[in-house]
Amino acid sequence: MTLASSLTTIVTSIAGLSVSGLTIKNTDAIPEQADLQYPLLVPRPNEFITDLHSERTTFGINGTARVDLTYNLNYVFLYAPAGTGVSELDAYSGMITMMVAIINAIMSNDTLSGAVDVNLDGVSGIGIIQDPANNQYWGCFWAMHVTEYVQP
Amino acid sequence: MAKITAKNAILLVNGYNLSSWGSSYEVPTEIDPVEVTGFGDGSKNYTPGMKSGHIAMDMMWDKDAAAVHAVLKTPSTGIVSLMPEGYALGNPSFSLPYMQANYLPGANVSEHIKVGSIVFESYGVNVGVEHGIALAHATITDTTTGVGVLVGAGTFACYCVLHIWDTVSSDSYVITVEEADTLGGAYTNVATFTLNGQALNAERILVASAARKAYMRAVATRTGAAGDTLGYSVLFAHS
Repeated sequence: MTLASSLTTIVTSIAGLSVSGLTIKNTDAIPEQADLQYPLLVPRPNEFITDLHSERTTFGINGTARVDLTYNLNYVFLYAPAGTGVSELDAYSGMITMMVAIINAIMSNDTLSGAVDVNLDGVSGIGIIQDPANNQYWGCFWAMHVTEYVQP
Repeated sequence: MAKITAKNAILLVNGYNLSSWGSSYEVPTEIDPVEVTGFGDGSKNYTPGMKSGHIAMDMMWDKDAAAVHAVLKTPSTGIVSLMPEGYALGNPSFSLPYMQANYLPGANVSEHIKVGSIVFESYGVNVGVEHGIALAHATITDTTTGVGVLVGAGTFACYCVLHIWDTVSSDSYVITVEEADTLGGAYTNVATFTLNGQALNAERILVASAARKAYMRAVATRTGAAGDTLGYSVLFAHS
């Protein structure tokens, strides 16, 4: 028998979430630069999957046991180019508003297809960050904690 | 002897293989101490009283057919067996004619639904938990003659247990336990099970104490030509 993680299904489910004004990308659509596509929430290319942990919860060998699989999926939020607006901080309020919308979307959709549970596990780096082309944006980094019950 | 992992354990309840829902087990055997301390004794002392034993298994919830909820929701009687090291010919086994004492579905919001620690108490006149060996645990499609296992010749009662956990539809099987003086010698019948493999179930045969030979094996003889898959386990213990 074979045990199979639903990680790719879950990432696709996250890309399918609806947050007004925000584009959420899957791993096969990470743009090299965010021009004309922001606000964007994209998988973070470096360390997309972290804190991976599998725990056997029942007896069984060679794919017959039940396993709890947990991990973090890490995303980059690119809201608006740095320098947008009259002052440096004009984009800040809108960014926070959209971050709250992201929080609400995750909290309201904790059983995405493929996962038993999806929770937010932290936000960091709120401020000026870079897209893969080193363009500067107002944004931050998100960690989403995923729990799967992997069963034969 | 090296440490042995517990992850290979096989849990059989009346023919249902519940291994992949079980998370822990215990098989306690206890003897009531009867105090016989007398005047002048330097310390309290005891003599063995009644023996008792049970098998307890912690299980996950599953509502599917032939899974935990369907099998255990109505406490009943039957045969429970456990192979703590998994199956290899001659591996240790525990078996017990049981009365299921409880069923305890419950959950914590951040965990799996569980059915608690199911206690299988000794049922009927027996010797309690039977510590034996595994003679067979396999899926087969045709007559299969097992390899003998050395149990040692002697005079003892035999406790033979059969679990059918994957049934045949048109074929049928006669499953027996046989004995011989030597591994490659001539085998003769010890016990013949009545279960023919066409229904999930378990059966225990008590063979009264008699002179027994050194080697025991399990044989499954097919009638029919369909080649259906039979899943079965044969466990042997003696007094």
